[in-house]
Amino acid sequence: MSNAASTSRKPIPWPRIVPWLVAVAVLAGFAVFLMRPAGSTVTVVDVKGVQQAAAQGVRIVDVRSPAEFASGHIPGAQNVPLDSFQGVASQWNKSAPVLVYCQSGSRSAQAVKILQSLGFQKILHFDKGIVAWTGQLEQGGAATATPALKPTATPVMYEFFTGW
Amino acid sequence: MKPVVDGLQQQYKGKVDFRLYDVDNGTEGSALMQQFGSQYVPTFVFVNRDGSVATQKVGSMTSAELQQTLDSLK
Repeated sequence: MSNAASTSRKPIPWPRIVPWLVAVAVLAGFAVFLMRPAGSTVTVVDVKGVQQAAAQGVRIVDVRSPAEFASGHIPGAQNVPLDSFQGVASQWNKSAPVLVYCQSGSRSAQAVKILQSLGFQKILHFDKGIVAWTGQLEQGGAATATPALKPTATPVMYEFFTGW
Repeated sequence: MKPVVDGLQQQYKGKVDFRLYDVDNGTEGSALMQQFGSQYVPTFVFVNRDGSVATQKVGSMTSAELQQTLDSLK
């Protein structure tokens, strides 16, 4: 207890170390800054841009409700309603481009923000929405995401869970 | 989640068919879940009588949200 002063350890030479600590902190900060996900680019596209993206196999996402989607959507689009968008989009490859649209641009603007926050690098926004779409429409329920479900006597709720 | 769902299952008996899959047990559930395009649990999928998906939701739901969605199924 009382002989703490007699330890042979040298005192840390703070005056010499501090500038180095500062330098390391600055460099680390700079490295983090450099390594952060490259800022996402958001490109607003028109009908032609959507068609080009579709031709290139870009993931096209309709963020409207399943009912709206079923009533007519851009061919090849997948339906991920805005309320489940974050969870679903977080599973996608963030370096691959994603194109989002909705009815008139407000929900897709939120989807763009979500994609940005998730670190997606290339975001395409068909901001005029389906109302401005002059191309062909595809009808039917969530085509890409769901299995063919047979009509049933009562509605069905599926829950997928894990035990905890 | 389980107590809520179990309670509702009783309440909606004969009105809505509850199909509950523990994706850790058995491959049927996880295969089906993949078909629905989800990899997250819990995932809820609400399907109308005609086989159309009314809503698909990732993440837990409150009893009120569940009931509201269940009541909206056609």
